[in-house]
Amino acid sequence: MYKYIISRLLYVIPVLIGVTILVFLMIHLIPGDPAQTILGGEATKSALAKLRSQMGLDQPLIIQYFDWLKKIITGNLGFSYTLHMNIASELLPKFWNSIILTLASLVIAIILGVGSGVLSAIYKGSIFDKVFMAISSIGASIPVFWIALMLMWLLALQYPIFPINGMVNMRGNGGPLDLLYHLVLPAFATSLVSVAVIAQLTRNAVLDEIKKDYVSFFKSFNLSKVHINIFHVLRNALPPIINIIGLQVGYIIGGALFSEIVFSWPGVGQAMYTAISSKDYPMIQAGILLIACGFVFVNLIVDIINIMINPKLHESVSK
Amino acid sequence: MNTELSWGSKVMRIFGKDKTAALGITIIIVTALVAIFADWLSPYGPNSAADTAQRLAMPGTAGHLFGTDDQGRDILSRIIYGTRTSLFSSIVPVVISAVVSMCLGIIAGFFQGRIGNSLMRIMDVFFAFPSVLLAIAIAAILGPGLLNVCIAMVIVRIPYMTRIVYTDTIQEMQKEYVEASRAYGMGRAAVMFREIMPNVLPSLIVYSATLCGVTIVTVAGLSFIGLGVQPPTADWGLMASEGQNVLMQGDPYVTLFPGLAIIILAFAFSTLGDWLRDLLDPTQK
Repeated sequence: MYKYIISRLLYVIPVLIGVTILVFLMIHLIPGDPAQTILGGEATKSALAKLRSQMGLDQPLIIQYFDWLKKIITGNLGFSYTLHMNIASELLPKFWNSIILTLASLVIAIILGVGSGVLSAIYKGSIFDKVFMAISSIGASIPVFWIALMLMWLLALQYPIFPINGMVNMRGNGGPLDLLYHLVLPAFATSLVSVAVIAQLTRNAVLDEIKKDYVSFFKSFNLSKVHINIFHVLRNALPPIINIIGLQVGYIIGGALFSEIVFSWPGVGQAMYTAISSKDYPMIQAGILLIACGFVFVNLIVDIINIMINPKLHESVSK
Repeated sequence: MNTELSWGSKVMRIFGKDKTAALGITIIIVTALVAIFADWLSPYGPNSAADTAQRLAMPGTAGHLFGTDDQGRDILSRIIYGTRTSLFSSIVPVVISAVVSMCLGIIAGFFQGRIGNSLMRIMDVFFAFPSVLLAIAIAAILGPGLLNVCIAMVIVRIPYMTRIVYTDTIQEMQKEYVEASRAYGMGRAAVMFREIMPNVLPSLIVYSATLCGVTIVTVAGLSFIGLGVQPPTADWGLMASEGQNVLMQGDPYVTLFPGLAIIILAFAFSTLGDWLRDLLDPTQK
């Protein structure tokens, strides 16, 4: 098992190198001259030349890449020409805010998705099962920004139960409760699609397990249904469920971008939205790099958890 | 043996049994017909705002079933015209990426070794990005517009589809018919595209149908950010986004209806995918 974990850890290195190359090349795919695009049409020739040498655009591509890599490893994410400030000092606190929203959404998706999926499977054919599965088959097709807007209209405007936007009350003293209160709507909007998908797949995974011989074997011993379900069925259905959750992480990270924009949550997604409309390419580049690195890291954790609870998998991998 | 008949009856049997699939396929056909005949079906033009007094009319107002937006344009008419961009931007990128992925996946799976491995390692890098983020990145670089959104969607989908074709091709390579056709003297290209391709095609078709639904939702998201179709084109994602300001003033309908249209069409494609899977690829159920 440790052998697998170490090889999985080492695998992160080429992936991260690939990610940095791709993100680096982004700025060179901008049609036309990046310096011109960043400074706008009215920039003077000397300003353009200065920016080109500042960005290293006059150097060969490989040297530019290694210079850029050196900078980002030391935490220098570049300079925003629109905001006139260092990107790292602007973006890193926002990255933390994005992590809060993403984790909260993930927790909601896991609790509601797995919970309702398991209940649907155990009470297969019941009204709960039918209604919930019908809802979740539609729920998987809902755009996050739309459900975010609808939740905002219903629960912040029509019935002002929750705050419309932001992360903390500007007048209040903040505090964890205030944060939670502001977190409810964006986190629910982000997680709903994943709740639907996780619920459907969890239901299938649990049903596959319930079908197996050992369940009827235990039943013949008069073990209670609850006991069998909790200690055996769920325990055995856990690896596929963890896998399902792992696959949803990417959707939740992507969905959080939209919730941040709708609810003005001060995260990387919102910063990137502003950057896109002002064509602040260095900022977009840094945002994408941060989120992608976060995603690589989360995938690593999911894979390691998977291997730890599912010994069969690591046998097949080490082969 | 009459395979035509058995194929047809197979379709009918599954179609009759699966009411959800029947619903989904009907929705897709109706949407396609609406897109074709939009000029005849639509009560108003997509951008005609003849009556400025009719701004933000409530749904059910005479002549405006779904009401009007903040510029007095009829929402139903815009949804009808929006079927065109929605169908185009969901189906075209998926078809293009399916064709490209079919070639890449079969080549990678057939040659494996250095060619296959390096191709799949390059694809791995794309998996390090959540697909929405990658789409946003590419569209932001290329600039707003329907064509650029389609290019972004093609690039985003290729790694996923290629991986499916690659895995299937490797499985097919172990079967005897591949070796037999090589021994028979068939060229590599013929083995790849005449022998292997028909066997990996079903799962790619199933996946493509499902992806059309996912793509509608993603493209709507790009429109919401301002990277997609530009105003005043009637596009569901853009309409839902334009309703945002009015929604803040308490009127949700401008956003509500186009969003429902997106959900219904995306749902229809996902049921089409499920149905095709049962039809073409029963083992994967």
